[in-house]
Amino acid sequence: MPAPTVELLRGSLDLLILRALTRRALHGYAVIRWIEEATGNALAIEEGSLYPALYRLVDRGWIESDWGISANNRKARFYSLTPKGRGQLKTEVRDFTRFANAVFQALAAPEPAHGGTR
Amino acid sequence: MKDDPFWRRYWRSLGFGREVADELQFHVDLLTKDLIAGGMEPAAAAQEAARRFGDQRRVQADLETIERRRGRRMNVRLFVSELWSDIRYGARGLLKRPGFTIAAALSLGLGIGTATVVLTIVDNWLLRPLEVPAAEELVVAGASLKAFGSIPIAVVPTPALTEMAARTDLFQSVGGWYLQTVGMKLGESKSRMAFLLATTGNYFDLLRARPVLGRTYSEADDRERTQVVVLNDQAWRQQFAADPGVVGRTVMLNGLPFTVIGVLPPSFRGTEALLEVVGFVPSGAPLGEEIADLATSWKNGRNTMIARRQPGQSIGQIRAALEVMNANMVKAHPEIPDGFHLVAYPETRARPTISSTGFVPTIAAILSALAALVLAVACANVANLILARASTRATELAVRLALGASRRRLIQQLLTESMLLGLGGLLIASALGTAAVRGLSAISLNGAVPISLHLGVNPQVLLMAAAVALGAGLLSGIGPALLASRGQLHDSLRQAGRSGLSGRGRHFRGALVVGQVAVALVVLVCAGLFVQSSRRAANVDIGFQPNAVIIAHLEAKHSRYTLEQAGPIFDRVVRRVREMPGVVAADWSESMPVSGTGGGRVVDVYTGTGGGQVDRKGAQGMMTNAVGPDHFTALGLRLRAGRLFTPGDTSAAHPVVIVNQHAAEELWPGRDPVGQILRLGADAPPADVVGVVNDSRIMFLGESPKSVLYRPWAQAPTTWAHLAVRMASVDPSAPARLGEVIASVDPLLTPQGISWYDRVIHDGANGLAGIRLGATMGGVIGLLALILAVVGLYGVLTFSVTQETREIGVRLALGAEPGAIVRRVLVQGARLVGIGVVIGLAVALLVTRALGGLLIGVRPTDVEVFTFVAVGLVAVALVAAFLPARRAARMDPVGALRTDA
Repeated sequence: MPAPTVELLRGSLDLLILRALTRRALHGYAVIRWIEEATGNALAIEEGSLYPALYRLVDRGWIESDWGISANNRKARFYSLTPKGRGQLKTEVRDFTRFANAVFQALAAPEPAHGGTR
Repeated sequence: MKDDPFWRRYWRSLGFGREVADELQFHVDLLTKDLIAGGMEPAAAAQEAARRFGDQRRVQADLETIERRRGRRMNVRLFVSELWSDIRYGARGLLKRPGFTIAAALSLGLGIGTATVVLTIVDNWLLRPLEVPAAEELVVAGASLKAFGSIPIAVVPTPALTEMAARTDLFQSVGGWYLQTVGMKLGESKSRMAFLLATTGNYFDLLRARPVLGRTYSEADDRERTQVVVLNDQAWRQQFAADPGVVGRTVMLNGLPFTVIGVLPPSFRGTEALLEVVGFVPSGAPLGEEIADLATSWKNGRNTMIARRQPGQSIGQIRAALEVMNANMVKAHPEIPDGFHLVAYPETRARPTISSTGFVPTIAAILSALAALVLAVACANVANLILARASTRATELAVRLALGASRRRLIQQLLTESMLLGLGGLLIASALGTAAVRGLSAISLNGAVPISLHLGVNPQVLLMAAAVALGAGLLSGIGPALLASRGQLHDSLRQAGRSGLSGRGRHFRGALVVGQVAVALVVLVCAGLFVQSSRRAANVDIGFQPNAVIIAHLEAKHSRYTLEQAGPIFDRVVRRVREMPGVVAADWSESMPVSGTGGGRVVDVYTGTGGGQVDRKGAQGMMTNAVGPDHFTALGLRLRAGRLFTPGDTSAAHPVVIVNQHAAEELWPGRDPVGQILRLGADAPPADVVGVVNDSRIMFLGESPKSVLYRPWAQAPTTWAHLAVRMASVDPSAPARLGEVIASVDPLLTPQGISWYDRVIHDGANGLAGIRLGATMGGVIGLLALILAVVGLYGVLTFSVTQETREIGVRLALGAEPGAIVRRVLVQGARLVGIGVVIGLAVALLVTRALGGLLIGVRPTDVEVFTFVAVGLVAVALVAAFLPARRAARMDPVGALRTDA
């Protein structure tokens, strides 16, 4: 998986959004809150990149949106996973796990016998 | 968002596109609130929230772009899936009510079909220019003469043509053409009659018609009288089997060899609009009768003019210039006949000839108006049907509206259904239209003459018909759909029976049905009279016995014989024919009754030896027929007094005449005609009346008796002759043998139309063909009118039953017998039909009087026909009325009351 860093980040944002929506429908703000909590505030998602990601996922048909009433009684747009999105989540989790494992494996490997040219 | 384009602001002001902004605002608000809850100052919190969002406007614009792209894709997908489901829904609905569907589609189909056929005819005859480059420049001029009223005649005297051709400021070139009949013979095949156009040498250059094979002829060919012929596409295919090497082959025309030099494309058929011509020859070629003073005579013209105007000259300018030219010509040439007047028209306005230029557009306008009327009636019928049906679905529609179906969706759905009906109508229409056009093209007015209507249905007309069909479907569906979508259908239906406006609507619908019934009755009566006529014609005494008689036609000119040579040749032929086994009698005549060959020459008649012309109440003269001595026996005409002609009545003998009874009664009422003296023409020598024969039909089977004067053939010869051969029995091989006998006398002779006389009368234009055409056309149109009327009645009654659902429900609930309900609806229908029939009968009595001359053996007021048609129409109409009546009677009273409450 020769993905550059930017792509990797965006890809993982999609993955996190899909994961956030597995249980129930959430509005955008709740998605951010969930990711922050779930990662122990290790990852801060910027609003400026969250919404384009949400809209793209809707466009791809992985999630769908519907207007509803939020906890504090305001009209809000809720996002939920589509069946297609659920399948996509599975694939992405598998791919990401393989990718992460590969990276970990490489990191855990013994030092090379000969140093680099540097 | 000041830098947004206007339309987007406007779009947003309507509430569209607000969603993205709302969503982002919601987010910012929550974030601010949480930050405050976390201990921040409200102002700082708002600032922080905005910072975390970055450029909110840009984000919003990005999001809107994604959303719009998605929206467009979704709309298309949604529309397609909605349309598909509407089509399925509509088709299911239509299939569930086959009666409604068939009635509506048939009604539309008939309307559209009629419109298509009429458009085709109008397009073919009037609108479509010749298929040559810059056809709009083509001009036809005709000459009107006082003697012919002010109607221009197509034939223009040659000097006038020459003078017009000299006006190069007006015309690029001026040409002429005339129709020529020839005996045509290919190789060893038998000679047969064909039509050619003889044209000036510049004809093809003028029209810019290019051949697909070989070349066309030029002015040099015309001057040098070259014997060449250019073939039409159809003749090339049918008579030369589309031989690619046809150029150079020889064709015998009137016994002279002509070389084929070219073949024209199928798009070019020349300037003759009606007859199918085989090809074109230079007018200089030695084929036609030579007119000695043709180049200079102002009286004996031959050519129809065709010209190409200078692009800068309008038809108005040309007419004005012709006025001036005309005045000068009349001044310069005192021999120009009275009232001579040149007038020019665009080529498309001079069809089929310039003489018809006044009334063809009128006929086309009337036809188009009729077609539009039929179409309008069909649409009204369908609208009635849809309204009646929509009313039964009002509840369904109301429920769906209440359940949240959008009005747009409902309208879309109802319109889809109408479009489906329109498509069904189009299918029926194209089937009917194609059949009708094919039928019309195949009509031959006279077996011997190849009339070509050339009615191809062109794709544009079909497209137009399709547009009309869909438009008609939409139009008839849109009213009910709008009403239904507003949920007002129910109200409007309930009010329809009561309030003033809708009441008028009902009267209008009633009047429409009355009118349709009346029209159907009139047309069906006409058709019925024709049918009756053709059934009775066989038993009508026409004055002679055409059965077991063979007739044939010879034109000596087609074999290059002169008048002097013709007599002896005809004599030789008839002598040989009489020797044929089975022949009872045979002889020549100038014209053959009821065969479409005309009534012979018409002459002014003077009785006595003095100068007293017979005054026949303004009539022009009497028909004459030059006949051989055995003509009467061959035809079965009976001698009433005096004697028949004998071989002794030669050209040298004293002139004699035989009159028919009608002429005798007209010329010498109450006196013995035999021995009276007649002069046929002011300068003719006195002739003795030697006999009287019975009257017979002359021109048409349906005519009243006419005066005919018979002269001996030898004393009034012609270059053509009609042979009548009475056989002892009907021997099927006899016509072929007759042809062989004639050919054996002189192989150059080209006998035409050898056939059994009774069949000619039966099939011929002057015989029963007109009547059978009338019966067929009348029957078809009558059937169309009947179907429209029946569908109209059905629609109106169904509609009114729906309107009165509540009333009928009350009656049923109060114990009315279903029979009484049926009667009630039937009476309503019968009233409309009754009024229609009475009006129709009155109109029919007026109309059929005009048919009197065409009918044989039937009076125009034939009681049998009138009764049969009226009773039949009422019966069919009552069947149509019974369907809604039965539905009314079977209504569930409780349900009916509830629906309408």
